[in-house]
Amino acid sequence: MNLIQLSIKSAWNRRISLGLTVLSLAVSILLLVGVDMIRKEAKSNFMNTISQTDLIVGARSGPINLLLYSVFRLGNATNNVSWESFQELSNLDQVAWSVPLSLGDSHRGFRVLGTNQDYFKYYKYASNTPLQFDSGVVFKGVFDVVLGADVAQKLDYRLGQKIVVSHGLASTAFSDHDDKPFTIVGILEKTGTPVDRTLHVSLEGISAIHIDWQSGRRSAFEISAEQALKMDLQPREITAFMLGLKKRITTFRVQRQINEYRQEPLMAIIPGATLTSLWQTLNAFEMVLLGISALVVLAGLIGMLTAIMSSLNERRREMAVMRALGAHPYHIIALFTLETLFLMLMSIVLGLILLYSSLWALKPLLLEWMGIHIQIVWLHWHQMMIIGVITLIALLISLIPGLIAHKRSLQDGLMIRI
Amino acid sequence: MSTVIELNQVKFTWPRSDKPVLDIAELVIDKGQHLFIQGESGCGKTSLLNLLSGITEPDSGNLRILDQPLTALSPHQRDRFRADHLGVIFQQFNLLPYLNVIENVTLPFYFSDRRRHKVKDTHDAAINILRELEITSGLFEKDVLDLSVGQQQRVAVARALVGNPELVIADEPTSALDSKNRDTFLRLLFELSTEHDSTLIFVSHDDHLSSFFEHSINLAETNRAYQGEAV
Amino acid sequence: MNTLFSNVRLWMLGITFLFSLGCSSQDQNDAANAPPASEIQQNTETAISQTDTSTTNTSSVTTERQPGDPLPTISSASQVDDGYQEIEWDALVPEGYRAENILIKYQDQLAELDDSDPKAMELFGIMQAEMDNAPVNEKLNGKKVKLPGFIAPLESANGEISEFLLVPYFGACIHVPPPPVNQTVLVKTVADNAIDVDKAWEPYWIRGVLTTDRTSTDIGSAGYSIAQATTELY
Repeated sequence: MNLIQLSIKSAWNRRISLGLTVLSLAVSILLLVGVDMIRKEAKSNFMNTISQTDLIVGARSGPINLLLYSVFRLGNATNNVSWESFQELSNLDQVAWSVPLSLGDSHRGFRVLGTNQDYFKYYKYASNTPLQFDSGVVFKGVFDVVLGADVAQKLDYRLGQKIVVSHGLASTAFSDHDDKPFTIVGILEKTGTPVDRTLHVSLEGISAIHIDWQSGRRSAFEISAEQALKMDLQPREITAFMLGLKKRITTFRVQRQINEYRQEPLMAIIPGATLTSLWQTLNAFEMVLLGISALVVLAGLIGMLTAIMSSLNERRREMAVMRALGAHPYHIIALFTLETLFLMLMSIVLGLILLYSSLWALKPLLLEWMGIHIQIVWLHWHQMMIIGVITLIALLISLIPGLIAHKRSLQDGLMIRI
Repeated sequence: MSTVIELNQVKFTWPRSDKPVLDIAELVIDKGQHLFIQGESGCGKTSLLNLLSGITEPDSGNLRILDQPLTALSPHQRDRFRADHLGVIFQQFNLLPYLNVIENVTLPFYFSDRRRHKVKDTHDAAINILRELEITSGLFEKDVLDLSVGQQQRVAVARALVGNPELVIADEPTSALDSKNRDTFLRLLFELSTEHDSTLIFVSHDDHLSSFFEHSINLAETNRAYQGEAV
Repeated sequence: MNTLFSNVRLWMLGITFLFSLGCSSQDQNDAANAPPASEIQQNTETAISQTDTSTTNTSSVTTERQPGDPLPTISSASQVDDGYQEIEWDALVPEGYRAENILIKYQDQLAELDDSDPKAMELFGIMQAEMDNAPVNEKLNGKKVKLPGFIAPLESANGEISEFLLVPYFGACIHVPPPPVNQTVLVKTVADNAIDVDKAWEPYWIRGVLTTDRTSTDIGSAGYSIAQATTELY
């Protein structure tokens, strides 16, 4: 029988109240480590959104706006880019490729992107991963559409189906281009990026559906789909465009050239740098979440302290017996510290079991709801350190009842109070 | 050495009071004696026991146990001394509720190497002494709460005597027992103390018990600080 | 419940978008109004101040950085660090094209003119163009170097920045005029030494083998790069 066995047996004797403490601590650890893990995954996902594109160019506004609407399909451009500017800048010496982007339409809540076939060749994500087709092919005809994985899944679309696109972003049908339906010719594989939530059509397709829309409103003259095909569908304006350079080292130079372009007020952003800025802003939210989780852990620790303190009275006799047997003060204190250590270990184990089970269960759900891929990996050393610090704090807290018990045992001496 | 305990001009005062609660000119207890100390509560019984067990120190005077001046020892050393040489029996709640009978009885071996080395095998030593105390083997692995009070007190004796400590202090050990259990208890206590060569100090307010003992003192008389008031 | 969760991340981005809208009007003003002349002047000054290594900029080690801020001065450790020679940004400019040399070249002409004289603007333009079009320093090709700087992120892997442009001062991709090509290094890090996104705006030491791009004849696109670099917080 040694001190460790004594503490364990003593704790087991009070297993109901201590069990609840362990549960509450386990849940708080689950929360803290879980939030940190998801945060790390979200960061990874986030930075993976776009890759191998050197510059994104749009009308002059703010860099984060441009990133948000061109890559994340959020918000709107304040102005457009003229086709001439797009052509001229695409022909700069340093430019290897360019892909036009046209935004502004939607389909049942999902954004529609007008672009060309090069998009599927040059858009990369997650360290140079290209877009893959789950089924079908790239659009060829004016009224062909390629769907992102989530669009197809949520709206239950299949290849060959016909769908209608709305002007603007509303998902109700007031402004439908319903006389010019699109045919689904391709569905992309899941990427974990905003591509999944997008419908892709050709620029000509966008022009075609806007042909009878002048200044945002349907005109009195209706032009049928067949007639539209015969007209000149070359776009006059686009929303933004992506650029790939021959040499990445020239990025700054080309960026400056575009920023100082005299024909039109334009701006060029470096996606990696702007993503990093945006992340730092989002980070603030996530730090708040972490802060709250830390407070929950604190509450759990206080709960544990309460459970141990309330057991002090009933353990008074136990302490007197120990003292009578010749226990030193450090034995008395050690009993409490060892018990706390034992409780913490159980909480950590239980917490981790709960965490990984939740992650397994949540993985498919998080993918569907938030587009976040979670890789279930073992704890990062950083998270292990967090757990270590919590344990250390718990052990320090355990000194409180330990010292109180010791002091009382000195007062009690051999006389046990009934 | 033939004396186990020697007190000389010992005074003790509680930390927050100004008058001594214990003032003993001289008290000598011989080896092997079974001494009955009669004491009402309030006559300094608790203080005396705390001093004898080394839990507290006298303010002044000499206190020697087994030829060791206790005042020369640090609290840490006194704890060790207590573990090595002393067995204690309380009125009730002697045993740790989360250990079974055997585990309770072998507890002193954890705190005292000396006592552990006096026996060949701690488990066997415990079993032997329990049998001597008429505790059946079926009870060995049981939870202490499953035992009757009489049985619990006898297990307490086992724990106090295991490993042959030189001195046993019993504080009102029979006050919670009915007369039949009490008689059994006393018989066994005396038998085993003699057999294990231990000096027994038995403290109680019940002066009827003094008839069982060869030697007895009245603490109210020995303690000069006693004012004659019940506390 | 489904719609709520499916939109949480979008909401977060959306709220950020709203905040940035507030900033965008400010951005528009800056972008539209920055006069070319003062840019050139600023750039010249930055280039010149790079040559005074020691005294002038005793910047505090706080995280409040303004675009254009140079590296905080720290007492330099040994010049050679396990095989990697510590170099300064100035070394990346071949001798004849260094700012002080260009300044000396045009000194007499500058002395005759007023700052506000349009001829002075023209002269600054010429000086700037000479610096901008300076070639790379071939002597450094293949050398193991150690260079401190700020990063402009380009690519990420596993949530860390694995490829970036290294520049001598903070905020090169914001409205401050970017450095010339020979003051930029394209860096790819080794797999386990990429840069944490949360610390992307700190200065770093970069160690690696410097290569100059010889294949291109166009001076404007020749440049420095380091593959397999190791990174360390400054």
